Amino acid sequence: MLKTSKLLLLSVALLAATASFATAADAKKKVAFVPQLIGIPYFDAMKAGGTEAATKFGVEFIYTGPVDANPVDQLQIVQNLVNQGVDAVSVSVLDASSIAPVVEAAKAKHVTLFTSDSDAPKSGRAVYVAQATDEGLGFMIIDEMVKRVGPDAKIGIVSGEATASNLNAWIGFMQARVKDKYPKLKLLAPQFAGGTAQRAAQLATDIMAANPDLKGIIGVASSTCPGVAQAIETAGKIGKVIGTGYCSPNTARAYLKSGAFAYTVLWDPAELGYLTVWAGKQLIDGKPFEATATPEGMSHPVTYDAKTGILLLGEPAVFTAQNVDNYHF
Amino acid sequence: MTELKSYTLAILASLWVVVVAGLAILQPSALDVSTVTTILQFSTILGLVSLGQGVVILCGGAGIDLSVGGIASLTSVVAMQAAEAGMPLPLLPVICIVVGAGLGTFNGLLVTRLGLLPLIATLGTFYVYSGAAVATTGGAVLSGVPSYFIVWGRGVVSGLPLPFLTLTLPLFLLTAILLRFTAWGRWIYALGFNERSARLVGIPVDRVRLIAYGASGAFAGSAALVGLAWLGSARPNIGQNLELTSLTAALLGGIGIMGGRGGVIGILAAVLLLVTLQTGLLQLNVNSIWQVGIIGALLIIVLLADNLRFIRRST
Repeated sequence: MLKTSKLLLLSVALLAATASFATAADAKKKVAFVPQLIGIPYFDAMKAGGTEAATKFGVEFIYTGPVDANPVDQLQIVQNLVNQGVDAVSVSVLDASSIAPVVEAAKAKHVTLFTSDSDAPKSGRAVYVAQATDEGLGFMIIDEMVKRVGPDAKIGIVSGEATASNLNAWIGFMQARVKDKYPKLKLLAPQFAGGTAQRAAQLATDIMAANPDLKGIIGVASSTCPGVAQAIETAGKIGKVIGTGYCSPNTARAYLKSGAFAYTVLWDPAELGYLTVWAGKQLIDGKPFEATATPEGMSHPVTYDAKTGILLLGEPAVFTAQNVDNYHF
Repeated sequence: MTELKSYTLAILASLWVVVVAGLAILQPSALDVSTVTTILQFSTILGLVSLGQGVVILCGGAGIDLSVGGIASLTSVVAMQAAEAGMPLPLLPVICIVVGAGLGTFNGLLVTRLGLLPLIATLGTFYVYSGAAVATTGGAVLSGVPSYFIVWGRGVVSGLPLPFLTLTLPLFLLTAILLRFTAWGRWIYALGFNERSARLVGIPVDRVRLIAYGASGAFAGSAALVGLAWLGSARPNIGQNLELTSLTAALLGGIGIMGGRGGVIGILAAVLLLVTLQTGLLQLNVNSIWQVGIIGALLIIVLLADNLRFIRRST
């Protein structure tokens, strides 16, 4: 019995320790964002943008997500935000089907559920805050690649999680672009590295070894970019194999400068986080989205398509060794 | 043995009370029926898988089933593919359990017939099963679960989710009764406790163990069924992380890692404690990185308490 009471004490201490991290409830409206994974620079940048917008628009911003990219863990986090009665919950969806069970629960609780960064199109979400269209991203990376290697080349693809709907959509549009516009370009079947750069490096090395005539490799998930670049560097194929991917200037800076990467395609995640919180505030206030609007604090307009329910941040950006130092995210 | 079991249950129950009380003080709004529903919903799949994990460990011989998550993933994918190929939809539950039991039995054969160490055998099949689930679908989600299953999977009766009420809870009670009151149950404890003497008194050790792995697979298969009915689709990674979480739940629930010690009600209590703790921390918006650490600390503390008692007794 003595042990039990000691244990009780310990757990009380543990709880007290965790309690200090909890925020006190107040009257401010709450907007939450649930990323696919916490602790990576990409979502940290979205968090920073969201925090900035929250200060500007006077809402409380809750940022919480799974420690590994597991859809059921993400569902659990979203479900709990809904149970808490957070006014608007945005999710970067890991798996479009897994979000379905909470959509009804959210409606019953008068919680506005919307998606950002990665969508669940048929889930009944209020809006999808899109970083760029999947089509724009898929086409852009292929067009830029063709500019560098020509229309007659063999290109490898290293992606992240095989189940991530946004990554698969981009790959789909890459393949569509090649089919329509560059029939001679040979796009190899995508390899999936999960979340680690190390596995991506191994896959990229294997692809290069198996295809001596390879001209380029595309790292689809931001976590795969360093792996792909390192593989090109260690294989001594800088200039012979063009590396690229969807990754931030901070992630790719060293590789853009070494030449392992010729360019990267992305958007500004901090701006996306800002737009997400702005959209949450609009939804809470019951204000409709206009076809074109420039949210307070943003430098360019965003567009809204009422038919698809997509709020679009803008065209994707291309980063190269020349312009990379102008960006810091 | 009963004394040990009740001791574990007492620790878990008091910890659970502490968690709930802490939550009540810090976030009174969390004490809502919807929280209970959420906790039980997320306990359903983990509970089923942990039950199988616990039975395998109980059987001793360094028993462990690392492939439970892979079995759940592969089963849900195979079941939906069979449905797409024209299998009558009402047979989904049957095929889930049959496929799960089959995959589990394969583990059992590797261990009992080929003499592979369970850790190695099930680590291997974990990769094979979860890899096969992703490979056959290309990572895509398979939809098309009929709506009458979804009504069950998402159904709630007075705050209690139907899958928990009609599947997880009855299976736990049934397993507890089998372990306690039948010869098979006694055999499991006997061979887990001392395999050599169990063989000497004529207990069919290999057969019992084979059935335990098969049962673990069947439980994982039923977890896949819950996933299908709950999410409305087959996901090739539904079982991700289940292997280690279920192991945590089984050990936290008082199952001795060497086998032959513990009971399945402890596992259920541990699952509920784990999910309640997670839910509580999420309600308080505690960073989920802390949650992983706290669960690890909890496991060490509870097992340490258990161990200290043994050390004191043996000196």
